[in-house]
Amino acid sequence: MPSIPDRKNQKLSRFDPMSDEELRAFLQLDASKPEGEASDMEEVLYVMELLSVRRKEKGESRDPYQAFEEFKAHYAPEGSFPEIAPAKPKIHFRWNRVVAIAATLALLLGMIMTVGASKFDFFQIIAKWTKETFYTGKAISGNQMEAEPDITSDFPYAELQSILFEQNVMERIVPTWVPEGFEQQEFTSYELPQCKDYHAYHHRGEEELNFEVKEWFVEVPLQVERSSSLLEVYTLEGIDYYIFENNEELQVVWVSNEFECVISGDISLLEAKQMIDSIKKD
Amino acid sequence: MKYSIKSFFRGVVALCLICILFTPNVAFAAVKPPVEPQASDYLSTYYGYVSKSGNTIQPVFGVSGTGMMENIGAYSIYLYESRDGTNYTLVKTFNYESYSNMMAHNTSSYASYMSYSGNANYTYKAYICVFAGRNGGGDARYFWGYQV
Repeated sequence: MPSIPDRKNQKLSRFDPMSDEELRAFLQLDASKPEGEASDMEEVLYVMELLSVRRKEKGESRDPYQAFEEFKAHYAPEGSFPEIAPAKPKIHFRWNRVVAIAATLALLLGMIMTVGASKFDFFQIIAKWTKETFYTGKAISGNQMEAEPDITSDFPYAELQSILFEQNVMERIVPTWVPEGFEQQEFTSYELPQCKDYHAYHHRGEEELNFEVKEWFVEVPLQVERSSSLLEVYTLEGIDYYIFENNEELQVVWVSNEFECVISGDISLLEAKQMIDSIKKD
Repeated sequence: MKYSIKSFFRGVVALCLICILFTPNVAFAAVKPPVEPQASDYLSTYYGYVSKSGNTIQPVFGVSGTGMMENIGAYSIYLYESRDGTNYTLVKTFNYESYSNMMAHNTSSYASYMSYSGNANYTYKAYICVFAGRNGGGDARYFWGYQV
């Protein structure tokens, strides 16, 4: 008795010598069977697989959409097959990536514009401003001028204040108070191309206190030594005074129109604020 | 939908992190590349730039010490010029040993400028080294001073 596989192979092998057209005709005939009449699925699948193998052997590639259209034309009577066409390949436009890139570029652009527009860098203390008045002072000599400290005056930085008054500078930028015990030892002024630089030095024993004023006629960054991030921003009458540490010393930096000022030395935070407060007091 | 939202935020975060790494460089480039902030027992503040008046080129510097310094001023100034604003050539070197107005003694601050006969149509910049020292110690800083 032949084994079942042998009988199955014999049954299906009858399709092997058939041509492609005969095989397609068989499938079409099977598809046209009236409803209720069962198809021999084993035969149908065998024929379909046989056609597929033959196509591969011939090197014929089939677009799924094209194959479906051919199937409808050959095997499905018109109107009997539901229109379920295979989805055409979609071009998947990755909108999420586009939006992510656009958002990042906008953020980056905003950060660049903010740095450029603010003209002040917290971490570097490179203060920039625009000179709106023109230089009406003495002729440029570039020489160092040392003024004798006014030891008879109780008013600290009197020399600097008088120079500024002579130049009709009404800006209140000079402290009128220093911590007790500090005595002025030196006052120097430098007249440079497009800048005037004033410097007053006080000392109290080994402790030192400096006050600098730069009158800028162009934009030049001032490098300020510091050992820490910003200690505090002390605001008084609309001016921000930035307070840092430079190792054991305190640095106070602020800008008032074309003037850039620095207090630095062996003073406490409280004393620094007191000096700042004294700028605006009569 | 859930997957696309997750991938969207993942992409934004990743690109933001990359940009943050490079933003400081970009931002500072938009201003001017400054020296790195440092602390010093000798230096308080300093600045430098190049002033131009016709053919006269003047590198300027200023230094303030933390107190009275034995030596304070500019160690050296390297002056560069450019015809196109992009490519620079070293044209002059100033050293304190050769120019007495570059360094001062026993004072708390010093500022001065040098002079060079250049070309009014060229662009200049200077690489400046400032110094302050006393009691056998001191600090120096190198930075670029640009034409103003």
